[in-house]
Amino acid sequence: MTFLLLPIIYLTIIGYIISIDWAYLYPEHKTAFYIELFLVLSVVPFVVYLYFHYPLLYAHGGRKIDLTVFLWLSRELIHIRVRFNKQRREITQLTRDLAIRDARYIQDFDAIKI
Amino acid sequence: MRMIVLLPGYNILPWSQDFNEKLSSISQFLKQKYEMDTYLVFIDDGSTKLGTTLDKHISNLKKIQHCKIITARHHLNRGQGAALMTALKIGRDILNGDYFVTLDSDGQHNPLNVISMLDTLKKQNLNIIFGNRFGAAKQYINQIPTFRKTILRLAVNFEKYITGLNLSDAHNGFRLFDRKAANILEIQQDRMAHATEIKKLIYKHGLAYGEATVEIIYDKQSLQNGQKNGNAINIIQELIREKVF
Repeated sequence: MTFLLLPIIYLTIIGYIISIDWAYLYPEHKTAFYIELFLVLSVVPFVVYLYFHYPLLYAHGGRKIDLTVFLWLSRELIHIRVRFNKQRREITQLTRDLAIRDARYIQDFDAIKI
Repeated sequence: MRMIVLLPGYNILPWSQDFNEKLSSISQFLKQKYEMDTYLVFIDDGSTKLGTTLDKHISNLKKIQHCKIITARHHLNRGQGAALMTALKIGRDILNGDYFVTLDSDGQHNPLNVISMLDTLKKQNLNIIFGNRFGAAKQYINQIPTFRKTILRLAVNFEKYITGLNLSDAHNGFRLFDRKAANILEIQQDRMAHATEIKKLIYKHGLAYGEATVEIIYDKQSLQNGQKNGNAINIIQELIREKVF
């Protein structure tokens, strides 16, 4: 029973995470979502057919907990990068707006803004 | 008509009197020959080093004649691409410039080259003209450090592949472009990869481009102020990150 139950639980969790990211990450950044989806789909067979792939997993020192950590870290890295880029653009825009607001002719450096 | 000189600078010491004089004479020449008013937009990109902040540049900038000068300051350092875009927004959207020149503020470029660039741009009906340091006289080419020359040659081929533009020089900050090109330039790359992004935008919008020989001076001060060779790796990283994320 455990033999069937655990993969189903894992896949349900993964499916849940993907569905959340599909709702939030996909509209914001399609490429990042596709990368995440690719990463997840590439390891799903290892969950479903664990015993068939046992020698391969064993060679890589793999267990289900490693898989979970791998998925989680990959997902976090993608999210951090997307968030970082978004905030970088926002900070640049804010810095630019402030600079343009305070720009002035050098002749009037101490007085008038353009 | 208005010529806007875009000059972003970060941790740059006030440039030499020679550079000021060249900027003054080019402004005077443009006024006499083309009835063109010259505006210089200097952006201090959040300089922090002693003697490089905007207030230290003011007295030096005031020495430039026949040219109206506008200054602005990024409160945080955002990179050359971001500073250039800020300068372009001021020049394009506030000053309504007709022609735009981008120069590096490390004093490596010779502003007098603008004359030949503008002539070529007008005669050949181009939208943008890129500086080419490899077409200059031998005395200038010999000044380029050998390692820098090798990196630039590799970068030329890399950029041909990435951008689609067939140019003889890579990452030369000396450019002249018209209003049509200025309107399509919305630079997203904050740091050095903006030079590649500009080329990609020109190719994407099918604008007419060309090259003109420019002289670049590699003296001790300009090498200290200018780009480091290691930046080539950073540029590639930035391009990949921007492409993927």
